[in-house]
Amino acid sequence: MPQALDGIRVVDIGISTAGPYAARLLGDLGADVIKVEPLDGENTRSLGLQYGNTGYLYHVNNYNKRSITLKVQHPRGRDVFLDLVAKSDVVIENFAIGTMDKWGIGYDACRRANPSIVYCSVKGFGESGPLRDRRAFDTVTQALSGIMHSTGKPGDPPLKAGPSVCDLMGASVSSLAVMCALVARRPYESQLVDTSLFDMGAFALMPLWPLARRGIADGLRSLGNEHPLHAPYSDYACADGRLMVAVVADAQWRALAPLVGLPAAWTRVQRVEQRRAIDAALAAWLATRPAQQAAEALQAVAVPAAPILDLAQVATSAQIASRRMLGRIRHATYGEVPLINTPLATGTADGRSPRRHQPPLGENNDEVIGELLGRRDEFASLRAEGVIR
Amino acid sequence: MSTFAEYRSWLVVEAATGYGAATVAGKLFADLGCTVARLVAPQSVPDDGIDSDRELDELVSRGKHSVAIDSTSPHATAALDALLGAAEVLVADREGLLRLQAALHAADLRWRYPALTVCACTWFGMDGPLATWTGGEEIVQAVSGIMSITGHPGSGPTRVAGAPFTHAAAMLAVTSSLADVLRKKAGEKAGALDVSVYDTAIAFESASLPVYFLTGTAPHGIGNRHSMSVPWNSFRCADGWVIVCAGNHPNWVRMCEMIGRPELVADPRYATQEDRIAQVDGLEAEIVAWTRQRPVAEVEAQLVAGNIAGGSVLALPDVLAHPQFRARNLADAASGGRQAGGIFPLNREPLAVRQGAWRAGAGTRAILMDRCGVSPADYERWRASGALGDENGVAYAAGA
Repeated sequence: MPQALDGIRVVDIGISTAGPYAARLLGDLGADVIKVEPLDGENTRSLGLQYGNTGYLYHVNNYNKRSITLKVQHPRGRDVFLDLVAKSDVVIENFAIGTMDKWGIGYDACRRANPSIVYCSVKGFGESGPLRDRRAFDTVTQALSGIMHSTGKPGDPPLKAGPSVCDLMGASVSSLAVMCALVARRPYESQLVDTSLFDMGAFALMPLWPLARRGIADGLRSLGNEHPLHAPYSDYACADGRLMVAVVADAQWRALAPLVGLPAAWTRVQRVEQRRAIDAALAAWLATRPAQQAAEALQAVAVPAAPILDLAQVATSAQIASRRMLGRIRHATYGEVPLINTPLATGTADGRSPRRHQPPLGENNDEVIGELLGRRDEFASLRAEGVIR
Repeated sequence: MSTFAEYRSWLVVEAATGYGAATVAGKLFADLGCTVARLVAPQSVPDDGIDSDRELDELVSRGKHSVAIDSTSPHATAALDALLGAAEVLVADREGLLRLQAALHAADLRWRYPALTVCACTWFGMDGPLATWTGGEEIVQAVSGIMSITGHPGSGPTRVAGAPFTHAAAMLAVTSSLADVLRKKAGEKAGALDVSVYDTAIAFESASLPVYFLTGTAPHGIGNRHSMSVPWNSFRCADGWVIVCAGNHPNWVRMCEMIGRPELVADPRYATQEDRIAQVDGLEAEIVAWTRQRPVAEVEAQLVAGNIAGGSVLALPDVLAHPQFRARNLADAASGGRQAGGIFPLNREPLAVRQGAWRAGAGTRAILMDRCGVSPADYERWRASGALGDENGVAYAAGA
């Protein structure tokens, strides 16, 4: 079955997570993603946990791609890159501001090479604003966008989210922005989409903006897992673990109240006033019940509750299997590689699973630089000059 | 103002209740310039009409048109046919989708509207053992393992503030829907798409789930540290906190200079990254001895001057007042900041957004008559029967 981005070519010159993951999402939708790597490989190939001598993050962020090596800082490398851009539809990059221009392959150079190009610039703080030149990682943008200050437990230091939420939301918005441009594009109209990790951190906190306007957002961390406007809303000890309960509606409270012996008529305001009494009653009810059983009992009456699972429990759960979020792919060198499937709905029956595993470094030099760009007879000199590997 | 002209001809229907991924997806379609019809029930009244619900509702309502159709009315089918028959995409939460399926007696809405992309955007997906569970951002964070990998050591599982996974799922739902439109343009049938906050949270564990894959052990929160780079943490200052991410050797050298301890570069305890990881507590003590004596602003200025990644840990009110937040147009100035702005600029300008009529029922007449071609006679007949609500009819509490 054809995929949405069949026939679309994406040049991925990103590093780490935000750029490469954005490009991979487009690959999940069928795009031919060509990853342009330095001669010693993109940084995550050697970073962190390894699976078969390749960083696991590289496996996850770079399946459904081909790989070429290219020293774009070299004049001949730049020419090859722009030649590739001329035969492509999308460029994604996430280098520091000015880096691509310094190499002669920024937006202006790319649109000269291809007047219809969609150019996606993924930055820590975007291409505008007073922080645009600041160095950034996911953690820095979590700090400056308010996520860290708002996350944590009473008395603890500020806390970052476990996952790299700004990086991954940055990737998500970048694939979205590119898709918007592709659906709407017209010949000879290039598009610059400018996405930022800081924007995503602030966007993630959007439900809390009204609290900030009310002057009650400063102390969110002191609430731990509670909500200033709702109760019961926290995590509670069960017989064998912890349970998250998040009651936000009167109907939910009316269903819960009889179980814990409290007045069903309490309004939201009264529930917040009686937060500690409710917590004590709920804690007593939960103390003797296993978390899963308690969650099922509460969910049976439409009360939002769920056990707090660790990743071992998650990875072996019926839910993750049912959603087909874990997959395996056969790698010629490494054997079976366990992977996380795409969260996108691809519209095809088997679209969740990777089509191809992460590419060995420069595996596709010949078919891309040689065949697609017609430069096979330059290989020897490009290698001799250190432009390709 | 910049825009994608393509989307100005699109009608997108949002069928969702409360603040969830489908509601946010509707906002993202509106950001693109689509006409977004937000389907509400004429009699819909929130539980207790609290201000915070209205404020949340308004945040994601920029550019939307509220269309009030009572799906239980005998005339609802004709009104829904007019609306959905003209739409490019339906984005719905589970309840919204099931309600429409029941009203239209169609288990698959594409039987009735073959060109309609149907995107379910739910907490747990349309199938699986948790599909019918009542969800929420923190509920998904709990059962997907996110809370277990967020936290300081010993502090227990911690939720991530805000709604990062709800919002990310909304973005992925719109991306999936746009992909389906491309497939339709290529001659394929419209898709029935299923995007969930749960799947999104799992996908975002791309650096943590592999730890379990490879070791068989579940990882837990490590605070703000980085398992492979030191120094990388939050540090207390005289008046707040800063984050420092100086994990490679050149950064470490600059960091030592910044804190006035250049001799630490040659200190054998910290000679290599592995040494620094092994001696992380002592190394961080050296840094905090310097940061604690100084205000955040001074430390941040020195980080910037030293080209070291880091910065202040800002409270949300400070973020909303920050020049960077304003420069990126993240809040909509025209609404006094009560509505969210766009999430990315296009060609260096904010995305243009159309005016909407988001208060309950206020867009019913304009959408059905002007956009969907319903005749005045039909409109008045349906309205008189109680199938429709508009600004001249039913009194609303929701969003009024």
